[in-house]
Amino acid sequence: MTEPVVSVRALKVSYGKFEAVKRISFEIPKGEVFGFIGPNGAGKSSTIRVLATLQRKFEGVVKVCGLDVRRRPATVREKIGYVPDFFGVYEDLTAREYLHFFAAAYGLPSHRRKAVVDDVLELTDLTHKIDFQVDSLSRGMKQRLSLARVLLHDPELLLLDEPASGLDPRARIEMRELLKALKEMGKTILISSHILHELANLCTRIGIIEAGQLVAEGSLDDIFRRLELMRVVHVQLAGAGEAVAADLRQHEGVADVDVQSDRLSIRLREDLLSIEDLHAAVVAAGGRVRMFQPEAMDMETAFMKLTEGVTA
Amino acid sequence: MTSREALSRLRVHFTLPLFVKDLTEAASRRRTYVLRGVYAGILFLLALIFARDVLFPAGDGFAVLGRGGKVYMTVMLIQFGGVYLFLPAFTAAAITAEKERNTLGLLFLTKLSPTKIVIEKYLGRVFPMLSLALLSLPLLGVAYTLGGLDAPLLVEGFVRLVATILMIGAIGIACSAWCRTTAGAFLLTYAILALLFPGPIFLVISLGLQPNSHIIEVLGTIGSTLRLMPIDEPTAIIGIFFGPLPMIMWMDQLERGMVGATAFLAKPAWLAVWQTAPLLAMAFASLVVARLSIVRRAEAKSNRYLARSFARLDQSFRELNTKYAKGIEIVKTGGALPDDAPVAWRETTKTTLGSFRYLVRVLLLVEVPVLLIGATSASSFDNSGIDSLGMIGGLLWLGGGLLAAVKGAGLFTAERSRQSLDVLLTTPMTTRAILRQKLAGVWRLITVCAVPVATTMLLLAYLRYSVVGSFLDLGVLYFITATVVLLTHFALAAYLSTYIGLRLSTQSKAMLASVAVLVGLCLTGPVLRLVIDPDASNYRFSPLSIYSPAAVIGELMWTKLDPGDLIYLLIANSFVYGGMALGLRVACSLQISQLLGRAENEPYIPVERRIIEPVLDFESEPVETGELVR
Repeated sequence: MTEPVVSVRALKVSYGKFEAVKRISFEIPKGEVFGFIGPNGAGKSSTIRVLATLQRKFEGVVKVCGLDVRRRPATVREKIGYVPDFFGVYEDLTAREYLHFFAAAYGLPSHRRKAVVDDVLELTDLTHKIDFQVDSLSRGMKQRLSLARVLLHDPELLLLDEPASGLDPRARIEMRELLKALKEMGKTILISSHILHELANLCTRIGIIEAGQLVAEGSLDDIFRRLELMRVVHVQLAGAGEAVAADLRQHEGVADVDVQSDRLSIRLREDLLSIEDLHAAVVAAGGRVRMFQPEAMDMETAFMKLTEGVTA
Repeated sequence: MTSREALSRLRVHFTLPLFVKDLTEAASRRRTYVLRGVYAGILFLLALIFARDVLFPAGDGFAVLGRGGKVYMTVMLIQFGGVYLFLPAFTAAAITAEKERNTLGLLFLTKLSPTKIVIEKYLGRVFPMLSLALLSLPLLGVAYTLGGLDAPLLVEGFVRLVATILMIGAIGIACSAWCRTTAGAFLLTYAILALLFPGPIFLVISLGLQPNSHIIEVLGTIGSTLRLMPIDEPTAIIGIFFGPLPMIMWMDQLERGMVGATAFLAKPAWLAVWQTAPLLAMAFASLVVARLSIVRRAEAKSNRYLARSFARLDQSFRELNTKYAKGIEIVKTGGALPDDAPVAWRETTKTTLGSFRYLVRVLLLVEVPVLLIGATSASSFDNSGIDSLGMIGGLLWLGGGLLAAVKGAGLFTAERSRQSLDVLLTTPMTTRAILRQKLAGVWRLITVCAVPVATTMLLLAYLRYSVVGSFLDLGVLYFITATVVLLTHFALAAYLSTYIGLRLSTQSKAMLASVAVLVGLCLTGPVLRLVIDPDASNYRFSPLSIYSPAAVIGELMWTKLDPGDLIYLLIANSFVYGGMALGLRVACSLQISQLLGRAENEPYIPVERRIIEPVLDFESEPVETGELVR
């Protein structure tokens, strides 16, 4: 088995008597996008700061690419790219100077810098802004520039702390698409957010943290299954649906069928009956399907069920 | 509208929420009480030392009766010193802190008018200072008991102190409303205060005027006619905005035994109040400036006027060069992108002192006036000219030290406030390398500040020692000593403030703390000298002066030193202040990772002193994929 890119074991972070993170453990294998979810003050940023080598005092064993963060932080820094939840600007630099500044800080050979900077600007669609002052860029562009910065040294792990915070809808979508591209490039990504539906489409696994403790960790399907959350499927039929509804209620896996004026709302237990089989069952029951629409998994429900609204 | 509603509206109009908030915040901080305690301690200690011949008479106790005036004036002058040193730093952050936190816009959204914001911010800063002024009451009680403290003297001192607080506070608020950053407001406030006094003295010197020149006579006569001058002498017009001027003259004349001449303070109370009109007018004008700027400059961007004007100048030169010299460049400028030391690149090239040619221009801008003043002083060829030059050198020295301290204090605190520090710390650069490269900008600034001071010292060396025909040996020794001392002091200011900046969270706190420590260091020497060697003349070299950087500067600028004194100063200063600077440099290097909270491969702690971490026992096992913890 290959070594996970991130390995956190019994991590505890304290600020004086206040325990921000209480002995949490998790692992992130290579190529995964791990969503770190939790309310404000839950301990997400403290955990990410430990991984980013910005937290000097902590307990537990934290490894990045097999390297102990406590013992070899300098080497760890070469493996990670960190985007904090704010965009600290050097307002006196242009986008080009900003990226060259960090290319030099990451120790890229000077003859390679121009090509690398051009590449990351193209990837983040900022080439046309190369000679603009960083301070003059919009918030979304600044966030993309931040991503461009962390890609300069081609890190194995990206640590993104609330990257979509404060962005407008367009910038959020652009950011999501960019992250998908990075996922396809095989980057391992740890992304924190409290905007749940954004992570639902992106993450391969999530960890839900509250009051410094990890309350759930796994793939979305795993978590939904364990929480016994049901998916709602909306079906619109030609003609009356009572008979079909009565037939469907006999199927194992159909928890409930609500007959509404224009549709049937079916609550489905996916572990017992898949969506495809449900569709077949509707047709078999004589239903002439006009619309068949499974609702997206409701992460907000899962989050509310798992957390109690407390902070550490 | 009922009378109750009208009363309620009136009450809303006269409530001061911002002022109350500032005072409440200050009251809830432990620091406020610690600072007050420290201020009171220093005030009482200095008063006891400076007026000890009155408070602790060696001989007949009755001889001190009637000398309460001296105790009073001593306390007052210490209070004036405190006001001039700390109030600018205290007020400079009043509005810039709101700008830096992006909360000023939120204040504009409330029902508070800009005028009310300015006034409330002003009151919030001035009231604590006035409360500090009240700390001297017990000492004034002692002074009053001793006698010799007439009511006019009491009124004059108190009224001028309050007026000075109001003026400096208002100037600080105006600078805070105008400037984008706390550091800028801090420096601008001190620059304006220096312009008000002793600025006019330098203006007179640089214009080649005598203190009794026609223009001074005319202005002085106007001031006298309006009875605005605290001292009825035309030359006093130079210090019309300088609050403690009559007190300083009173003490000076008392020291020289000219007690009868101190009658100028025996004036009616209304006249003493009237004579603060220039100070109050300046305060009012400053508040008007603050009101006019607070909205316009709420979102002020970095203008970099000097850099932009230099860039325009470059453009003109390029055009001329292309036209007449076919674009030949003798000195090529370096690449525009960072090399392998990116932090140093940003610190040195992204400022007005960036490129070589800009540096030369800045040096010329500072150097030319110094040379002009020096030439004017040299032409007089008497001690007054040399003393004036010494004063200019001393002030440039202190100004350079202040600039180095402000720059050092902002090295890391500015990164914190810009929220760019974390990003920098996650790069593979070592913290030592970041520190070293950050300091490159400070050294650039120190170089620019040191050149005019060194020029002044070269002129002093020539003027002071060429007369006795020993310029080539004694003059050169003086110049070398002074240059070494200068660089040591600047380095000390830079490293001290950098260290403080690493320890504190905000730039304003770091600047205030740095200035406080440097002032404390400067006061040590004179106080020690008074305690140990009370009869020493101000014009005689004292080995005790080594206990204070300010006293060392004083010796170099105003005392005629012999070779032994110079060598003593060279060695002792290098040992004391060079050692302190080196120690602080090492402390910065050793503790920077810890102070910035960054993990390091090599913690720079000797192996035998390392804390061995306890073996970790895993109370909870790692969560398996898909497993629910709860």
